[in-house]
Amino acid sequence: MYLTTRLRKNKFLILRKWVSVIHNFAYIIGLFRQLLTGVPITLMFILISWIIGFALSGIITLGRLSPKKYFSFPLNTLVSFVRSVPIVLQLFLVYYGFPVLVEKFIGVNINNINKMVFCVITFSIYYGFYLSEILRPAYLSVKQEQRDAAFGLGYTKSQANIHVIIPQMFSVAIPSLGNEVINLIHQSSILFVLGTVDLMGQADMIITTDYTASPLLTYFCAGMIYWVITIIVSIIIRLLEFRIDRYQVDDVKGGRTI
Amino acid sequence: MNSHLFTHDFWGIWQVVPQTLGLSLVILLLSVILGTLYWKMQGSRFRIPRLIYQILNSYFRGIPLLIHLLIFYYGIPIVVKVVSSRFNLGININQISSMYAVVISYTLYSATFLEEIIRGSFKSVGEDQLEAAAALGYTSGQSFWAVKLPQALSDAIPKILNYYTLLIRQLSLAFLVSVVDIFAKAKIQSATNDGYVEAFTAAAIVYWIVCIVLTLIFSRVEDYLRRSDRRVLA
Repeated sequence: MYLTTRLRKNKFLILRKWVSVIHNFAYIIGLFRQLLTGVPITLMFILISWIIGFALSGIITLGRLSPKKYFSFPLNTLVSFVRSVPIVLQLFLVYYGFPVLVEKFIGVNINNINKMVFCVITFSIYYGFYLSEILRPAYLSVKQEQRDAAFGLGYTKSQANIHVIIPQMFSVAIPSLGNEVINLIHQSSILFVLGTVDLMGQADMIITTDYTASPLLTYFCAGMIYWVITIIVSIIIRLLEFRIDRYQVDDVKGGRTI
Repeated sequence: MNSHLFTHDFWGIWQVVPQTLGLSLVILLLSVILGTLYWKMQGSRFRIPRLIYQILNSYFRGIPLLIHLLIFYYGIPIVVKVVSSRFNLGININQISSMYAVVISYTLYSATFLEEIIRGSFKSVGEDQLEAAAALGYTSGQSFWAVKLPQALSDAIPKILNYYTLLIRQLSLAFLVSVVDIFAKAKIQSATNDGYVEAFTAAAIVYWIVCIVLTLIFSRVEDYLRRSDRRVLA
């Protein structure tokens, strides 16, 4: 009698355990499904701010390379500022300061604009200045002989830049630029402090709206998605590196350095 | 822009600068130790330490620091609760400071980057230096302590100090777990007196000054360390 009840109880426990496992599994799938709705916004944000930031950094690098002091000095000062202030603080500074500035000088109230716009502005400015710190040394690393050879072949200055200097500059800059893309993906997780609906914003929303949700599990799942994105992006960067280095000639031939 | 508010915030923020620098220094020292351990694991003869290193490296680099911080913030009390009830330690999990979460997550995260710095600087010491030491009759231990380590350190220390300034900036995320650093202080100030632009501008200028001063000091240190480098004559 005792034994049968215990057996029955045991069976019941096992069944309950399995039910809870399946229930948890379904719960995690649901969690991932909700988190994944934020992924397109994160990716879109990364793409837009990267494109704008990269274009900006080209212009800033050009200004910093110019021999005229009144171009390069203010830009160098701004680079020092942007590099020494954390991105969260810059985000808040733009979020609260930009509408005030616009209202004062243009007279337009932009308080009700989409928060994503402020995020894109902040990250574009940040990466615009930050990437010029990569592009400038890369530009300077191309040897003077290359330029001389191009001039010797009758290239004009802009032709030499476009056909000779910039392609070589990228083979130096691509590894660091790739690191910065991954950095951008990771730093975009801070946007949720303004209440956006990207990947991290979804995770935050789940926790604040659902009282029973475990913050640990939710953030861990969000982290897994970030991990997958990072791995995919780093594979793409490595392929790009191979493609860009395809014209690279080894300096060593027949065991002798030339 | 209210200038009175600005000066009030500015001097208020300077009060938390020492503790921000101190906390970053603690994290830096712990992660240098852990980074050295990682470096040993990475170059190990055995497969298991190398595998553990690779997994840890990929995990800590693949996930944003923010999420590590939050995972440790919510995870540490759970782990402590289990351990405490298993061994009857009687720790009250509500009394665990969120400082532990900051220190542990930042240390684990920075250690992977410091491992890269340490590995690179040991690699930068040329083989010829060790050959010269061997020719002078140094034992392998002597040549490590007297030749390899000093040269590797003079290469690594400027990079580690550079990482320190990065760490100060990264510590601004700690406001999420209510650890007060420069940014968190600015956020508190702005919430109490409703001057958002003033407080954040003040914080930005504090960060700028701190970074410029540290960079100047560190470049002096770098010059001192590089004093015995032989200049390459053309």
